Amino acid sequence: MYALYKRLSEEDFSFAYLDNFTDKATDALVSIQDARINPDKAARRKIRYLVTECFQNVIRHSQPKYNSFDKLFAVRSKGNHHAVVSINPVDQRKVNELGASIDSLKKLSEKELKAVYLDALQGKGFNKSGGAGLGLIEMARKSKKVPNYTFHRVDNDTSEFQFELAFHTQKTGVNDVFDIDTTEFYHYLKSNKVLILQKGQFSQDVVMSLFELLEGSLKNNIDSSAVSQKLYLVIELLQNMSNYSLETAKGKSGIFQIKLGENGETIFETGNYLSNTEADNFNSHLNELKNLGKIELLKRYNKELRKGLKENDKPNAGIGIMEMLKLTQGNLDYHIEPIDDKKSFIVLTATVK
Amino acid sequence: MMVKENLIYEGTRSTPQVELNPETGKFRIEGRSIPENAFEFYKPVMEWLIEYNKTPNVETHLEIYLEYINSGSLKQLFRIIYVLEDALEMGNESYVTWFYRKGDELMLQKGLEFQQFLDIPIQLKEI
Repeated sequence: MYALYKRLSEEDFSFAYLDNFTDKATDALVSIQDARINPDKAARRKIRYLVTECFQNVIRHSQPKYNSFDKLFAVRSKGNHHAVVSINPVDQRKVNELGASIDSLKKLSEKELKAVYLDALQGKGFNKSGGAGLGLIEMARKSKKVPNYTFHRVDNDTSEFQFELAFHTQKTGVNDVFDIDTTEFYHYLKSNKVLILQKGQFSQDVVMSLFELLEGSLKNNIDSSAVSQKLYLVIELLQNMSNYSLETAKGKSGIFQIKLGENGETIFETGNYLSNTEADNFNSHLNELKNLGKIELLKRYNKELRKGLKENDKPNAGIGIMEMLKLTQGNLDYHIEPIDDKKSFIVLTATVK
Repeated sequence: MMVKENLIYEGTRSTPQVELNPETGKFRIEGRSIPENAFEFYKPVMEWLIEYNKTPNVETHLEIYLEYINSGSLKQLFRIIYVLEDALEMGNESYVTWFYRKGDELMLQKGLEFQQFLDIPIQLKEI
């Protein structure tokens, strides 16, 4: 995971959402963007619009599932350069029409785009496939760029449609090429069975928005008894990362992903820099706890709960790691990558069945 | 100084609705309790309760109904219930009802643990 974090290190924000998403996630997705882009209102409006439009397009125009991990929605930012990316299966019969629609936008000036947009609003022009035409024109207008796209034939009836909208929120001299291109990024996510990935700063607002996104997603996909346990684990991992992450030039940055294991188990992972002192403390604390039996762990938990009860001084929460150990039935692992004499990178992996 | 005022907090996306009524001795904490700093959030609640406990109602009943919780909040709730136990020692009646949604094994588990660790009567109620 450290290797991926390093490859994404120039990106201020990277987000990928795969597979079983529905339009119910729109609000939470927008809320994640709002939480991270502050206080630039114009940038926020633009990103909010393009994220919503692109996300709903994927849902509206996807073919039925042909394979697992066949849908991707991603948002990436590097300074004021942003990209909204989607991959989804489309009906092979619509490929030519869709490609022609996007190509036709390439030749148009801003004024002409506006005229085509007004025509499309009235149901004229190429707005024949529901919202697609209108949505595409508006995306091109707002981003001031025509989206890039490719089709990969999957079978006789289906093609994989890769759509990428790159834009700036302010004029900038920043190199707008991402170190990992969309194809490689998607390949990593798909081959590792990643359901969701986010890299960036994890403020409380960002944590809450991500939490709400996962809440909606988990409620759609798994039985309710497991939802609160998984969400509890998510909040513990994210807040743990937010608390212990080392302040770097790009703030308290970290990476979080949820993926599926070989046997269908769900794997939650966080990665972040932390001081070597914290790394040593964590190392000995977790090892000590992992050596406790179930009853001993419960006794220790009770003891930790009682710490600082009579005093008014700030108690160390202290029980977070124990809660994670209990929830994962001991399947809480970590890897510490030494970086230099001050900091390390820690990856925490929590697995639940 | 005796506590006279109700303590009321509206719920937010990360903190619960809190209602503490000194007249009736009925207290309720409901919603999500996943703040970044649970100690800071529950500090005024603790201070209020410590003051209340100097002249508690004959009967104090705390209802807890939480949708989501984090470990920091669990620790603070433990402290709150622990403070309510003091009312028992003064000969007053004090008890807790811990609600959990049907099928929510996590909140049931947390209620059972609190039952095991604390002396105050804690009734678990599925809703």
